[in-house]
Amino acid sequence: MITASNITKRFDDTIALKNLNCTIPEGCVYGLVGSNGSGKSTLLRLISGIYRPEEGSITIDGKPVFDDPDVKNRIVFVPDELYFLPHADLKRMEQLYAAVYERFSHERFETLLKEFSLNPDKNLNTFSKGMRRQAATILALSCRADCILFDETFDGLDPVMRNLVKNLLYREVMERGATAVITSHSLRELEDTCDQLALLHKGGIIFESDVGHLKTSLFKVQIAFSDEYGRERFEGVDMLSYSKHGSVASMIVRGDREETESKLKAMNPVLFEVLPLSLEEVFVYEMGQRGYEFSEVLKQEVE
Amino acid sequence: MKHPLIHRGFFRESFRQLRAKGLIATLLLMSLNLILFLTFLTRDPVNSSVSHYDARLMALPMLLILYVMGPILVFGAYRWLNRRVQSDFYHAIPLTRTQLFATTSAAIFAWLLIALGAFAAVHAILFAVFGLPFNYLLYLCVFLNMLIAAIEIVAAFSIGSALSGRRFPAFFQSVAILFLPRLLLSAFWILTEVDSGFTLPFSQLAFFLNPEFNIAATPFHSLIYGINYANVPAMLYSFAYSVLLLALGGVAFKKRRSETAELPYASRVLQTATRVMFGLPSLAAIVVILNLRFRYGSEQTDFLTTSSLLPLIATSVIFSFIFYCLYELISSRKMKKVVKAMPAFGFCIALALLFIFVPGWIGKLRKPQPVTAETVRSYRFSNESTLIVPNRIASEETYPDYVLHHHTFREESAKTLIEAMQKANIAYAEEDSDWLDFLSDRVIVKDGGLFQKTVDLPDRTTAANQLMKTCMDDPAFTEKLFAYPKGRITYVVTGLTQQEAQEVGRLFREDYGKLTEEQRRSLITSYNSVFDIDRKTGPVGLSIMLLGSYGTENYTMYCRVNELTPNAAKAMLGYLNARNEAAVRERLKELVAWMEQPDRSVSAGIFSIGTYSLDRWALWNENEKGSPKSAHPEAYRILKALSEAPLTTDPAHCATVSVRSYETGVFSVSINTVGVVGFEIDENLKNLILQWIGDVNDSYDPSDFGSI
Repeated sequence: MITASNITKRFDDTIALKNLNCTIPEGCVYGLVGSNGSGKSTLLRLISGIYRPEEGSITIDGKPVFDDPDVKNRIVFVPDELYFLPHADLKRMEQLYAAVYERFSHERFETLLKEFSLNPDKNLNTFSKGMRRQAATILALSCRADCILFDETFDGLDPVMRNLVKNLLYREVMERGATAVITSHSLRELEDTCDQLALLHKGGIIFESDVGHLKTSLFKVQIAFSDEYGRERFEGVDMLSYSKHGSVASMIVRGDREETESKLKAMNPVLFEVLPLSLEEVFVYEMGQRGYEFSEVLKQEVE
Repeated sequence: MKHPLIHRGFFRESFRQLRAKGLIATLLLMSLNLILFLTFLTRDPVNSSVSHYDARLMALPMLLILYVMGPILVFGAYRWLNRRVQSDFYHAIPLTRTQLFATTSAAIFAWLLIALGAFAAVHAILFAVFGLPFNYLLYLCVFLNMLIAAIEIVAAFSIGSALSGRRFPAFFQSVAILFLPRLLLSAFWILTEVDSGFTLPFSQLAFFLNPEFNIAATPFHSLIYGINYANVPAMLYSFAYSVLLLALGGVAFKKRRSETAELPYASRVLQTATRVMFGLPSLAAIVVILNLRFRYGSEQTDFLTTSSLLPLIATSVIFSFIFYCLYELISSRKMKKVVKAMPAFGFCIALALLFIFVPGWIGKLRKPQPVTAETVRSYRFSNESTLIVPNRIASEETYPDYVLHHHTFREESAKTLIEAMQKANIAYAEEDSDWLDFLSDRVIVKDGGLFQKTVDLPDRTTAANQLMKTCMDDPAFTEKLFAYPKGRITYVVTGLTQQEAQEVGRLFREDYGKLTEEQRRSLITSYNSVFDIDRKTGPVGLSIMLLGSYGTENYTMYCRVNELTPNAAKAMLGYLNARNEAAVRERLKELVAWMEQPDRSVSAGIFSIGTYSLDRWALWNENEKGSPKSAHPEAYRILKALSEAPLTTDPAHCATVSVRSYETGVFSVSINTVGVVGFEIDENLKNLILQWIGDVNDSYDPSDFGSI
């Protein structure tokens, strides 16, 4: 389990993370979403032991990460901007990784090479952006780390490769019980990948939840009655929003779906329909509840 | 150890990444090897100014290579510290910061060790294979010094790399770490020096004040003063200092944040300190001038009036300010930061003021401490003393010098002399403070104080000779002086092969052992020591050169080979006669024939007979009237008799003759040395020679004829 407690990280006069707390359980895919500058990459660098927080602590299973090779051997980090040795090919990089990561598996490396169909003897500088990310993924997954940290995971990958990477991540989580922490500035990208999601804004997590729960606990209802009615008719239903056009009312409801359904059906509506929400729509409403404008949090470029 | 300081896998990786640079370093050192060896091999060991191979010769070029390759290797190994992406990559790998630093440093050292080791091994092997005179102990000392210097250079540049995220500030900070402390201390010490009969010379200073005690920062000093590479305390100090620097590098590296990459500095305080250092050199000249004014009034700097001094101060300050700002601009690349940095320029001015005023006050504490005859316990001649050996021809010590510099004297009469000399020094200093510039000879005195004291020899010839005369009254000294030289000795004889020379040397040693002190003294030629300054004979006739090394020191000694060393003389003459007889007789016949019917385009002469050097070379040339035979009948008779005389190896009845002729052209003169042989001389020929020599050489002494 990765635990960040009251983390504060500054860069000169800029505060990148402020009093951040989060707990990432073992064996899950944890998504960090936020706009540029929200602190996603900084958080990953803190978890991987590259940065030392000015305040607070980051631990994995209770052990501080920073400057502890035993803990760092359990972590592998794939940054958004990739680094390979000058003029190196994948074989050369394999040697570097094998030299420093105790659990590096040559067999796993060979298997992944075949899966990605990359030429291990070709200079990595000649690779396209997507191929370089594939190469970095091969190297990272060959480390057999307990915590796999991916920054802007799918950047540059085509849909086929995205699926491959996703599947490989699932396998790591399912088969080895690894924990994957992945970041993206796009919520849609993480929607069908993560078990848990956290939304970062201005150096803090403003929302964190289980994705399955999020999707089932918030839904849209369209309802109409033959007589005239108003919002007060739905007293006892936890509505995040309510609107009425003619005789049809639309509402975003939070709570147990079946219970709400039976409650509303008992009112004998002439129209009753329950519609699923996209994750983005869920976030818009949840943010609204917390007093944030979703567009401000996830779309707007932060200085 | 759970996490060993040096991570094996990462070491292999770092070592591999430095391969190209490491090989270049090795190649450079091997080239130096070849140059040094060939230079030594192709020179004439007798006529060259350096007789013994001096391992110190390799120190400065080696240091220069270390100064270039050390930083290249360090910056190559730590290049990832200057790029954010790379810095994150390396900081993410499962090693502690200390392991990263120690392992990377180990890889750098491994390459330097390979380069230096290959150099050292090949160097030693080459000299051993060719059997050349070589002091292995001194060589080892120089090599160890170079290793220590390598650690120091790597450590300094590692600290610089850790303190900055950009190449230029890192380089500047590294250079400053390496040189500035020593430079500032030396400058401070020099500025505190008072002109007097007694000042502590550099070599007498302890630890951090002594420039020898920090090998990597010494090259500038060594160019002027030379360095004693066998100084064990200096080596230990340099080693401890280099390890301390390395440890500081480790601490700086551990404290460094990954995000420092691409930033000009790790902390603002450091950036300010570096800027101040960058601004200081422009103030150096004005600091010295104002320091002198403060200490001596305007006497020393009377070439500058107050009105010309003010613009000079203003210019220095402006230049200093420009360099100060320039550093900030180059390192931070932001004009805004330059403006913010301006107020801290005050530190530059404050430091300059410190150097102007404080040394003067400290200098007053270094006032002369008179040496009195009563307090002098012992004295010895400083190694810096060179002029007391006026006839020295080799750049290294002669054996008598060696004995002189290593003997502690306690002669009572000399103590009074030393007191008088220091009094004279102080009196001179009061009259003319420039007089010190001309002195380099000094004695080091122990008088029971905390430090040894030095007394310069004010009147070189008189003082040196007076002191030397007292030395010769010390039986302990003369016993050492005339004992056979200690250590490993290689013999060199002109005209003989190396093997032949060693054989002659072995016999010479045996013969020498049987002689009295006075006889031994007569064999040591005047090239060797001051106490023979009045002797008129030079190393003509037969002589042997001893190239010795004892401990870490080398020495040379020229000795005559004559009837006092009969076995050596016999062997030497045997080799020379066999080798040169035909050529010498041929040339003598040609000379006789030429004297009878001269070719006017050619001149000829006899260079020496026995130990007599013929000042005029007994010249015949186109300006002389008549034939050479009629102009110089004695010479003709001598040459004729010599051409027919038998050769001998008996030194008691022999004169060696060196025949040279030279042909004059319009623009050139070529001299052909035929060689030396020993002729058997009967009474008639001896008288004839003496008579003729008396004509051409006024200072000859017929009683010396017995010498070869």
